[in-house]
Amino acid sequence: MDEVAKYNEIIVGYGLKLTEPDLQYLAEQRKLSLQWSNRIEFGEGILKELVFRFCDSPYVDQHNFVETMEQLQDIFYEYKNEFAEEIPDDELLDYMEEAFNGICQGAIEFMEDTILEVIARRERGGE
Amino acid sequence: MSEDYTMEELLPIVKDLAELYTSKASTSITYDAARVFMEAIQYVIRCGRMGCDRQQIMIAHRDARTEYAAGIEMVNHLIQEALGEYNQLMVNYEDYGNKNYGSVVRDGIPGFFLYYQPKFKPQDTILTLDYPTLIPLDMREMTGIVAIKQYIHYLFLEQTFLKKFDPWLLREILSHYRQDYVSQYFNLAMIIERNLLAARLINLPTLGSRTITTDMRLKKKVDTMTVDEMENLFNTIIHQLIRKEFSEKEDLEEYLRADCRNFAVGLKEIEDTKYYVNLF
Repeated sequence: MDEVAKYNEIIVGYGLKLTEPDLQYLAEQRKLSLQWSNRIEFGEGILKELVFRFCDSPYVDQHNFVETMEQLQDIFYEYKNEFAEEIPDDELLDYMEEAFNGICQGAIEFMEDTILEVIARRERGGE
Repeated sequence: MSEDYTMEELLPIVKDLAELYTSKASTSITYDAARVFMEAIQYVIRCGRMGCDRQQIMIAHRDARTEYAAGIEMVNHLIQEALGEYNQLMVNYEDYGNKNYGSVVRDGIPGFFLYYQPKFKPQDTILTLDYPTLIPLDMREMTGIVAIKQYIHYLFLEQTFLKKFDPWLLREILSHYRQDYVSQYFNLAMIIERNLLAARLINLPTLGSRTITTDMRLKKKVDTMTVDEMENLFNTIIHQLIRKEFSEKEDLEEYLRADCRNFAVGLKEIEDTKYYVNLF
């Protein structure tokens, strides 16, 4: 099964679809994002995790899917730097998911500020 | 150096280190972390090649991963050797009241072994090695366990030398040099060695019998000699001392000889005996 089919097998149930050019575009954006955040990545990257975690969000649809994944990818690497390797990928993805689907209601422009808030709240109260 | 490996050859090892470092919980690391890992790998490979000549290196140069594995073994071996010598050093270790010497040996070095990360940062020396040794360590050339092992060895040699003397006499000599020697940052062995050499130069019977008169005699003797003559004589005195008292411990001889030239030059430069106190 090719890469596109692997993605689509999962996301098609949520009314989403990725094409070969979409994946190529996101792969290129990943490279840029890693460059901007001065990071080096081994293996296939975080895109697959992002796609599978956010495909069931009520704030994602076919219209904004690729753009949303691109921005989430940027935020992910930016926050990996912010936490200086202290935060595992899964944990950061949890925070991002909570912020995106919760307080931000899908508005990515608010996420950068709110993730820190989400993390602080969890740290304080273990919510 | 491991510059004969390309970046591409070393990257798979960086990847392994990154996975180990993040417990596979992160797919990416910062450039800074990658750079530190790259330096770590180069350091380990260099350690693995220690004592090898060019031909042996060419033979051993099978692939980066194999050489890295051999290097890690060498790093662990160096750690064990350094620890072993440190434990020997600590048997009846005496700091003669000097806080800097005591603190580096008693607290600093165990701290190194506690925090040293042979896989992720083997090149990190951690300590600033505030107690100066007679042969200074070039920290640009020598870092990590290689530097610490050498440093411990120097401290061990120094302690071997100092132990031959009565500790109270040593404290007296050190106090004569600097009344507040307990809180000063200088090499203790250097002061004792200089007193010893000066005493032998004018045939004083013991180390502790130095007076204004003996300093005058020393000055007269120094005036009759060139720096080279004095240095040669000091080297001979050290050689005889090592043969007689330290069962031909060559590395101790080499260590003590490191100061002979400086001392000879210093003696020659001093016009008035009252300034001898700046030297020893």
